Amino acid sequence: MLIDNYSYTNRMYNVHPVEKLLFAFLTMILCFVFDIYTNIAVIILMFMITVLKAKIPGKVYIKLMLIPFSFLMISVLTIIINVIGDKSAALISLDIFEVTLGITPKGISTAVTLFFRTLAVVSCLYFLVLTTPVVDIIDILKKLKIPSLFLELLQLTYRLIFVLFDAAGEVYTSQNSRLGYATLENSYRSLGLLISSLFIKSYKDSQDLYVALEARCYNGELKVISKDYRFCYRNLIFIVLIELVLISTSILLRR
Amino acid sequence: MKKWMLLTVFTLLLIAPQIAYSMHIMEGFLPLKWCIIWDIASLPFVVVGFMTISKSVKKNPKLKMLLGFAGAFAFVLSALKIPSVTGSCSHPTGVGLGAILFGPFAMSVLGLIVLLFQALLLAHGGITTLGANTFSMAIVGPIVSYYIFKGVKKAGGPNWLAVFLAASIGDLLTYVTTSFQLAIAFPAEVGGFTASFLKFMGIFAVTQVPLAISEGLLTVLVINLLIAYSKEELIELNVLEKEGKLV
Repeated sequence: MLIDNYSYTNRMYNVHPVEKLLFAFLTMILCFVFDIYTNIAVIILMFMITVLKAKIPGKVYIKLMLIPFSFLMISVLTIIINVIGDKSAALISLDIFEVTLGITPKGISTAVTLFFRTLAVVSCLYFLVLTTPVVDIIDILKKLKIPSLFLELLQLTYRLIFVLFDAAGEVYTSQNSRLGYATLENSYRSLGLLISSLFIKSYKDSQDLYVALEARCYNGELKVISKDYRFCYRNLIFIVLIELVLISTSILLRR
Repeated sequence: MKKWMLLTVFTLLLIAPQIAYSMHIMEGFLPLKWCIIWDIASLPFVVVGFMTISKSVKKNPKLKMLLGFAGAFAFVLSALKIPSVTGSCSHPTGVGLGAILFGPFAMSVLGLIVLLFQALLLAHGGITTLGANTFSMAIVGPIVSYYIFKGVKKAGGPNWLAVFLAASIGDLLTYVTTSFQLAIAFPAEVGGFTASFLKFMGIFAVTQVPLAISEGLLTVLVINLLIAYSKEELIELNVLEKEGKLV
């Protein structure tokens, strides 16, 4: 999985995860509070940090930004196009079966704000996930006193996702190479077989995992050594500065 | 005007088949107020689900591993492609299958975990919209699927019908909930919430009805294969009775 690979190999891997989380979330909140200029600034800022500092290839970053694009386009279009009462307020209008559809300036301004805000918040998320491995995020959650059973389920699920992903990929390749997905009927049959065998494998593996853990004195708790990070004051000052600059320029621009 | 309409229809047709890839509400799309409201709305269900899970894990510690695998299974399922009747591809939500296999309470917690990983690993959905997505995909969908399944079985309907209806209606209601969440956050200028809800429903209905049917068919296939090949596991999960009849 693309994002997971980069989260372990980027140049900001050794930065304390709490710093990265703080930076991403504070900026996210600013995106909600302030308007479009702040959002455009955040989009550029996150791109620069992720690409120049964390050395994620720019091509990869842009490709990732395009993933949520279809949802964004369709939802924004739905919000722009409205049923309207009087045509005088509309920029463009169109009659279909006695109903007038149209675009109003207000609709456009809502949609544009929404478009940039979404992209800005998404780029904050990308900064976080591309620089911080899931294991570190789970470690932070541990410090937030989240119930341990929930965290263990998170850890287990994270590890097993890759196991099952591999298994599913192998089954898919072998089915596909035997024309398993050649026709629609075949595809349904093959996919049904794939899912049910994946379920059986999951079940069997979970039993085996339990036996293996029992044999190693498992008493209901999975213990893992977490990586040792150190806070870097320069980074903390940098985060505070950037947030302050964003807040003050946004307030100034508002006037 | 005609040209403009054609252009819109064309773009919609171009985008519509892809929408299934990202039916989760994306990061940052909902205003902060609604993010928090949906977080609060999902919380009691997740807490109840969590308490049921921890009770059963205490009784049977093996279950923890199984739940871990179930979460991973649901994640991988959502990354597979279903061939759709209309020619486009979509991803199964696994809502119906999960609810039938693991019950609606466990699904609320598993769904939350899966949605979190989808946001962190695949950039589907997001952290701010986690509550809203959990509410539609991990709470409404599974509960509806589960009770439809039980209801049809009780009424004496055949297995395949119960499974099919559970999976496809659960799938559809997930999207109705998503439309509801989008409409209530972005009411139309004229007509307010209702107009906006109809707009979102109109678009999602066109794309989601064929997908819900595909998912229903697939779930029937999977359950049939599971009954044929892994009776014992299903009995242990309380999906099957000892004689091999669906509960």
